[in-house]
Amino acid sequence: MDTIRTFLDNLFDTLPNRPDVMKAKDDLFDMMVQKYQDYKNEGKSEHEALGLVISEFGDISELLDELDIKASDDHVTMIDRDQATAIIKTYHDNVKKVAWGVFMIIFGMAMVVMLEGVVFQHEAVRRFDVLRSLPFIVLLVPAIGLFISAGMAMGAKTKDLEVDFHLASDAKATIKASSDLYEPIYRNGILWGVMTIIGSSIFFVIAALFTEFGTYLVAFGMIVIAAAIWLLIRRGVIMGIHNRLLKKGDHSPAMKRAEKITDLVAGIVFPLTVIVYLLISFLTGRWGITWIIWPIVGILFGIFAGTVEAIQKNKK
Amino acid sequence: MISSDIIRGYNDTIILSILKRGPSYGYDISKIIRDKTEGKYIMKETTLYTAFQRLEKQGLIEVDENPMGSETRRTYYRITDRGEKHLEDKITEWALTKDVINRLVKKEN
Repeated sequence: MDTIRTFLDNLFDTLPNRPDVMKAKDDLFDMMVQKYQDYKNEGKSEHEALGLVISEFGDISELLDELDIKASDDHVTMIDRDQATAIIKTYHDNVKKVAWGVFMIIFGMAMVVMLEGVVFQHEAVRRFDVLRSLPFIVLLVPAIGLFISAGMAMGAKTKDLEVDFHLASDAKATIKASSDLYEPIYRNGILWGVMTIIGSSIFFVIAALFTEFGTYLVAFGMIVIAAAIWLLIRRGVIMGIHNRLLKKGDHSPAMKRAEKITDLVAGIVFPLTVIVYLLISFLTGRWGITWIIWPIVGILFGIFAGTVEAIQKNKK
Repeated sequence: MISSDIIRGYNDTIILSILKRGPSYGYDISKIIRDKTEGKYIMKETTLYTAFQRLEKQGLIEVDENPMGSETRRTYYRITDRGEKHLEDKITEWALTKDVINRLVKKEN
């Protein structure tokens, strides 16, 4: 009986959750169970009876035609194993670009801070004030290039995940295995990344105490943070795509609405922060301290995202 | 067992013919077909259920809401007046078809 239930569950898994479809499933189940009982009463073994019931079930496609359901229904896209592994591979290849892009931007800022401490202390170079932002700009431009290239590659591969999708059972097994293998790597990465960021605060504390090395230490601390973020992005994104394929975590409509709002605001806030950072830095000339805008915006944005999520979830 | 391709055109007629004797449900009809043909023809579950859907849409059968006070959720079907009329036409057509084929297709001895 469980075998028949599972057989029908698998067959109907990808079909829309409509009353007429559910009724068809119930009625077919009823027919199959009675037939199974009859075969067993005739003296057939459980195995034989199940085999006959399933072989005599027929072809689901004729029923789908009658119920006006296309096999590859618009509501549900089927993701097979090749496609699923291709998505994971694309993410592995492209998350490197994103991680390096972010590293470059933070590294650029660290260089700006460093130059502030070394070069621009000298009166002679003070008139090349505009050059102060050079390391940041020089690294920002290729970083944006990397983001666009990675974003396009990953976006193209995951277009099917935007709508309701279904993972073929062999694809599910493959991704599940790959996810189980990645889990310890992910956990280690997050642990090291977070510990490094917390540990890096020591550089900023010492920088505040010994002002003569201050800028070096701040710059060094920023590079350490950049390395930690590099690791967090790589591990987090790869785990994230596994979870997305396996539909782990929260995928409720409320969560999707919250994500849409946060994405929209992020798209405005972060470019704006770049402009404000450059503007304030140029106007005040205090490149040694203006980078502080980034952690502040980061934390505020985290609070904002959390609030949006909470509001959307409480809303009926 | 008979190839279902050949018999397909008459699945609906077979079901109507069984329902003419009284309201019935999926497995019962399937069993009647199997028993009457001594297992020479077995109608697949999907074929049977699809036929129910089609016949219901055409108004030739309808769901019997309260079949003889039964308490099950099982779906019983009943032939409609239109269904009976359609069945008569089909029986006539079959008699004619059988005659035509018999005249033309013969085993040479």
